Formats: sequence, structure tokens, C-alpha cells
Amino acid sequence: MFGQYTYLVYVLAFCLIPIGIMWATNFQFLHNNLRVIGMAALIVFVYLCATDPFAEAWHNWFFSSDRNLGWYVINFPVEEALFFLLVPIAIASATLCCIYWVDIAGHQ
Amino acid sequence: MYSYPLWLLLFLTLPLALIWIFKFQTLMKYGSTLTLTAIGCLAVSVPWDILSVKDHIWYFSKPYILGVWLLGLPIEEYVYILFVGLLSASVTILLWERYGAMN
Repeated sequence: MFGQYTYLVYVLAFCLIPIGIMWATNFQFLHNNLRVIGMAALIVFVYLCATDPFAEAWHNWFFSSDRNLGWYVINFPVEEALFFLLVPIAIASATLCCIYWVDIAGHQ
Repeated sequence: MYSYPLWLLLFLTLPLALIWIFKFQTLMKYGSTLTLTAIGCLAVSVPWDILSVKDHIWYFSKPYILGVWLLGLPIEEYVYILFVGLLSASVTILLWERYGAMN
């Protein structure tokens, strides 16, 4: 549908919308724990960037060249690097939101 | 052959198992959080993955996967989504224990 921007559009839509919803509804708590989110995202980002070249080289999956920008980091599309950054931010935010909600539920 | 399951074993299952072996008591306190996060990961990522395969952003091929398919995705993708989610959530919880602030 979006041609060579398809992968980029999907990464942005499926990551930024959940991140936006979590931050809009739990801004103060997540802001107070920005350091935890930043460190968790950085650790997972580095780990996924280090291990993904093996996944590409071992042919775990294949990318269609007409669905991404065509810019590569090592041997994976640049959109994949964005995926490795935004997905851990989303999961770290979701984990902290769950800790917060479980804590609130425990006090009721 | 079967490189995707082997990759999952080496690069996701092994580190996740090591984190859980060394931090079992801490992580077990957050069972509800981990369960909710894992469900959330699957709820967002499975439709994303199905649409991506339908739109030909990425695709899979034998003999690199086991060949067991569910809703148009190889079974390895479900393991990938679940284990990346659990790995990220476990790292977040361990950092939360050290640096987190409830208020």
C-alpha cells in the first residue's frame, strides 16, 4: 500500500500508537521512571542489533526489497533498527504500566 | 536447516533462561506483570506480523523453519514475539527493582 515506505509506516504505527496511549494515560509515573525505560531500551536495543545479523545470515526471514527504504545497517534494513529501538521502549513502558496497575489493584 | 529455531534457542531462550535462573525470586514477584505484558505483546505483534506477511514486507521459507504454521505465521514467530517481550520485560523489572520510583 505504501510502496518502499511500507515497513517504516508499519513500525511507526504499531509502536508509536501503543507508546502514545500508555504515555498519555500514565504520563507522570512513566516520566518519573524515564531512566528505567531508557536503560532497558538501550540494553535490549544493543542486544537485538548484535544478534540480528545472525538471523539475517541464517535466513530466518527474508525482506522484500520493494517494501523498505533500501538502506542497510550491517545486513538488516534501517527500519529493523528502528524496530529494535521502539519495541523495547513500548515493552518497558507497558511493563511499568502493569507494575503500576497491579500495585493500584493491590491497594483497593 | 531449521536455523530459525536454532537461533531462537541460542539468542533468546538461553539468555532468558539465564536471567530467570539467577533472578528467579525477584522475577516471580512480578508474575502478574509479566503475564499481562506477554499478553499485550501478542495482542499487538501478532496482527502486525500477519499484516506484514500479507503485505510482503517479510516472508519465511523452508528449510529454515520447522514448517508449522498458525494464522499465516510460522510457529517460530510466536516464540520470537513472546520471548523478546519476556526478555525486555524481565530486564525492565530488574532495573525497576534498583532504580524504580512508585511516586
